[in-house]
Amino acid sequence: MAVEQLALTVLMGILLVAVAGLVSRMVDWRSYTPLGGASAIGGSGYGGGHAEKPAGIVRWFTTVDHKDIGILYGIYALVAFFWGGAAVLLMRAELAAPGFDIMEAAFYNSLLTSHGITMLFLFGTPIIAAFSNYFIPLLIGADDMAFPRINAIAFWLLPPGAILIWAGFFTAPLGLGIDPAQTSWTMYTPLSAEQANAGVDLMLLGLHLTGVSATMGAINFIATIFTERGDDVNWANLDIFSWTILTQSALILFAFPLLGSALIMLLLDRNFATTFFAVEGGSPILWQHLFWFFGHPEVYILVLPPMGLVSWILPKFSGRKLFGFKFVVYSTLAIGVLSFGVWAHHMFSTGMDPRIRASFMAVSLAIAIPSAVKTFNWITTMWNGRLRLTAPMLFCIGFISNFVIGGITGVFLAAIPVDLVLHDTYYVVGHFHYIVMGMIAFAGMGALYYWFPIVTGRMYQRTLAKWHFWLSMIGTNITFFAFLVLGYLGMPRRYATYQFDGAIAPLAQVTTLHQISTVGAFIIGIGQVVWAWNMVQSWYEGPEVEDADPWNLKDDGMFGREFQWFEAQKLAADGGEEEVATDGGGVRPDGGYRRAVRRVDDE
Amino acid sequence: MDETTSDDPPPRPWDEEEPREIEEDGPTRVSAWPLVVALGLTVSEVGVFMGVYPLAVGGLVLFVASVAGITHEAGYTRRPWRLAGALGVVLVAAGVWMVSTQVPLAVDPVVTAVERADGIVLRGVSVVGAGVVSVVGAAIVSAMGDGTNDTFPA
Amino acid sequence: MVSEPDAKTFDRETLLDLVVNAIPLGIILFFILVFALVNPFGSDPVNTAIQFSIMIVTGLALLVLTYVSGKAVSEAEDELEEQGLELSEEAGADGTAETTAPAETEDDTA
Ligand code: HEM
Ligand SMILES: [Cu+2]
Repeated sequence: MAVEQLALTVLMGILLVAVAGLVSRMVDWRSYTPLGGASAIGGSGYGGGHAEKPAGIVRWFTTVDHKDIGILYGIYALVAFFWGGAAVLLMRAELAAPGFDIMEAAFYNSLLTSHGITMLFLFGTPIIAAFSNYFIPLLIGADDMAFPRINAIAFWLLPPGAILIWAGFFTAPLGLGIDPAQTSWTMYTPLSAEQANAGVDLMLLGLHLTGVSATMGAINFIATIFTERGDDVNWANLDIFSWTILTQSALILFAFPLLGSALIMLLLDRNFATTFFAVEGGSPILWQHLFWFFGHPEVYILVLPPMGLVSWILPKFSGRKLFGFKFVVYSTLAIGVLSFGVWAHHMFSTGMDPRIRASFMAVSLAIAIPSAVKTFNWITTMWNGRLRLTAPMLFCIGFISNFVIGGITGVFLAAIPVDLVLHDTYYVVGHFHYIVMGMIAFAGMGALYYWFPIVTGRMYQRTLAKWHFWLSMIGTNITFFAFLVLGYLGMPRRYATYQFDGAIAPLAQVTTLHQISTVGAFIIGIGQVVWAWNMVQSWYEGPEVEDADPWNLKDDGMFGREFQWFEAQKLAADGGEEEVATDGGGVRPDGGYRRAVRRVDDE
Repeated sequence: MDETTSDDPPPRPWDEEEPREIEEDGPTRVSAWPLVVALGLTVSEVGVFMGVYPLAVGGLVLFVASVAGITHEAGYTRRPWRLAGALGVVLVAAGVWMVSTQVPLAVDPVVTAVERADGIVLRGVSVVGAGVVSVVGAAIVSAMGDGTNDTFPA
Repeated sequence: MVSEPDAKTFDRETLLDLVVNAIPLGIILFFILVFALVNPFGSDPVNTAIQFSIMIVTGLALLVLTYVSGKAVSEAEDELEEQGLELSEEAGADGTAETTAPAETEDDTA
């Protein structure tokens, strides 16, 4: 013990010295930076002159530029996506046959927990933050986020958060007795309070950090959208993506601090013998209430911005403006409010008072309306439109199609009698995967393709993108439709095996359906490999976009503000070069523009 | 506003009100502090909660220093070391409070509690320790400065 | 901010837009009535109070937010109209921007 502490002290000392050294180097470098951008009055912006942003890796560790931070969020989210995807492919492999074949129950449970938490907190939230950081300031005509440094802090809390959440997987082989958590993403007590494993504490701490990060980001977005709008943007012409991010941020502001508090209560229960969630104390059900009071808004925190992305992108390839724009705005706000009145639909079978349960059913049915309204708006937007089936558009259409199934299954589950039958079966898993994979991931992919030219200055490979779409779409529907059927057959969720008594469920059919969904999962996996290849290769070698309007949006009067910004950058880059040549100083911060477009070459 | 086409921030109000050499010369879209703040928060959370005292002390000191640094850099304070000292005092108070929830605040009971490795008392002591290090460190550094070095004005 | 001394806060069109949130409100109202009339589980001070407050509080919150946001948006619309500008998500307030180059758009507003 003493030795350990000593070693740690030394380590800590080294860390402190390293940090001090790093920072002082940074400060030195800052003070000695020549006034490279004397010409660039009004800000020494985006690499404005190479002197102003450090080169190489240091730039990424020190940036407070919203676009750079957006890229960092994106890369982070995609790393997490592959971690969570790898975990689930192992699980699906295990489930291809009824018995224990390739892993033990403990490892399956660890993967299950890691998959859920990773996908929701480390992929879902950050991939949305990637788009909002990069594009909200451009869409509302702001110079940057309201608090650029807080923005950077919010991002940098995430990597340590992920390391803590995944810690058990790294430390388990070392034999320290710190194993991955097996709590599932809902962390239900008493199970989570009683698992004596420091890995659970580390995961809870990591989650807490990601919650702090999300809250900081939300405050920043609210401040930005309220106060940093350009002169020509007000509530009447604020774009739909910004509306959804505003609503999402409000939800985060109310939901995440509550999760943080509940996590700390759980940590106290685990380590300091408090009894918040003990049977003889606050009761395990208290955890469920607190968790779902956060948890249901969380699902809308995850889905509203993707809905905004689709509402923004879909019209671009339909040749028509979004049908009923205001409907979409108001129904977004409605979802935001109502999502706080439905949490106990996750707890219908906990034996709560039937009167209260009925109320939660009522509000849950009401919340389905604003969701359905959007679906009809999207369909009507496409109706008689001039559709162009580009990759982003395909993902938008897939999104709508998946939402129809995901949403309707949700409404079924919101009806108490149906839920009592289907609760804790694969049906629930099918419901929310249609939404989280079928919508959130799809909208994210669509937006990645749509904005790829802006971010990289290059075009992706269209054929590969179509392959990616079709593999994802077919894989998703195979996998998760099989889940729905499995649920009807009574297959309970969260098990590594399914060796039923034939009287309970038809084992043969269940096995077949599991195999089908394993196949589907691997199809999705192959699709994502295609996509990863496409992204990386196109980023380095894709054809440069010559024109600031790669989607021909001007033809339809759909040239959005972010592409207008892109065009301005390109114009300035071309024009700027001449000016530099003529008057040597240049009146524009041209270096930045060139950089924005040709970042790939520079690095 | 001919700069609307650019993505450069206009000078923030505090950039103008409080002219400081670094801020004017240096890049405005770069800061080394956010990463350190995040690191400090993480390490101190893990250290305090898991009862790994070296991490607790180091993390809290790092956190205090970086908060002082970033608020200074953003122009919210002219005297980061004073802020660091003040945060150190807050830590001492918080640590003393933690100890006081377990044992009476006198030398003997605290020493015995530390000897029998009472988790909460030890955590409290480590927080006090971090506070003391911060206060002392801030005092030393600001004493070393002659008041003219604007990089780290006392 | 205040546009017209008009007694009506919302014009016809805005009201039409707000109808979208009247539907969930109607559903909640419907259930409030149903649960008040049909009461198979009997009444109990605490549970019945919770039962109704879940619906009433959520409904009221929706009503308030719809009102506030509808007001903000319609005032913003009036503002744009006063400046003779068009509403467009894409082009900012500048009605011409749909086909012209953004550089010009920016100049107009500068
Ligand atoms: C149309 C509106 C929706 C309704 C009425 C609805 C209803 C429900 C209900 C009643 C359950 C509980 C099922 C059970 O455990 O027995 C449930 C579970 C779930 N829903 Fe939805 N849902 C809707 C939309 C969404 C959306 C948009 C998302 C995600 C972005 C989502 C994500 C989830 C998740 C993650 C679970 C499972 C939580 C768990 O137990 O692990 N739902 N939904
Ligand atoms: Cu829910």
